[in-house]
Amino acid sequence: MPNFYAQLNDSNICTTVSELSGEIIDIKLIKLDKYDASLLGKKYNGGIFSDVIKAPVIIRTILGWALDERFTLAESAAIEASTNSYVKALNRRLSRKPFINLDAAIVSEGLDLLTTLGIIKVGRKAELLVDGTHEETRS
Amino acid sequence: MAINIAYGTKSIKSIQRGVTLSSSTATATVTITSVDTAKSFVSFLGIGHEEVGSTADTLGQKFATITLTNATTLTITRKATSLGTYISWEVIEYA
Repeated sequence: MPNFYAQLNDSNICTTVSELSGEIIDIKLIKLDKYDASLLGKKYNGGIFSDVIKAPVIIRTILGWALDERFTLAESAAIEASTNSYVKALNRRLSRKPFINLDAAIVSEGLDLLTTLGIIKVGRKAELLVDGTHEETRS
Repeated sequence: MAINIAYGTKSIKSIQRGVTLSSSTATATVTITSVDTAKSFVSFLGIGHEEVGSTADTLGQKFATITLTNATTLTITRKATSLGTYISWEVIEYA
């Protein structure tokens, strides 16, 4: 007789569905009638598995091109045209990075610099540092 | 499930399979029916992810290791993340 089980974690969430070679008596192993991988991630309560509402994923690392596209064309042009050596260095360093951590000090300090120089408007820093989207993590 | 399959001079005593959802923690443990670890091995059958991108933060979750820790426990280790990763495994024990 098959031994199909759903294994629960400490929060009673199904973390494994398995077909074992023998019977196991364990409060965290729920015997199943069939192998059902759709139970993974569901919460077991009172003999029933139900969906769990997941917290949204917060993305703080995005691809380099995604940060570029957060700037308006006018802002991008102003950055490229800037003769300020710090702006040039910042642009060069960030351009080399395939991934940008939005919480990195260089990003924050760089946007502060752009604000001080009037290249971006006050308040743009917060807009440019909003959480990333899944699209901004795809190459 | 107990299977006896002739394979050269050895035969398979048992095969156990499963899929584990690993999320938010770096290590997941799986309980299996007791095997003789000296006569068993674990196979990694595949890995799948919830929606993820290709950023540096997510690369680590695309890799996982599976270890037969003891006679009744598999340990799956990967980089901790809030995104889920599905790992399919198999434990084969020879007679």
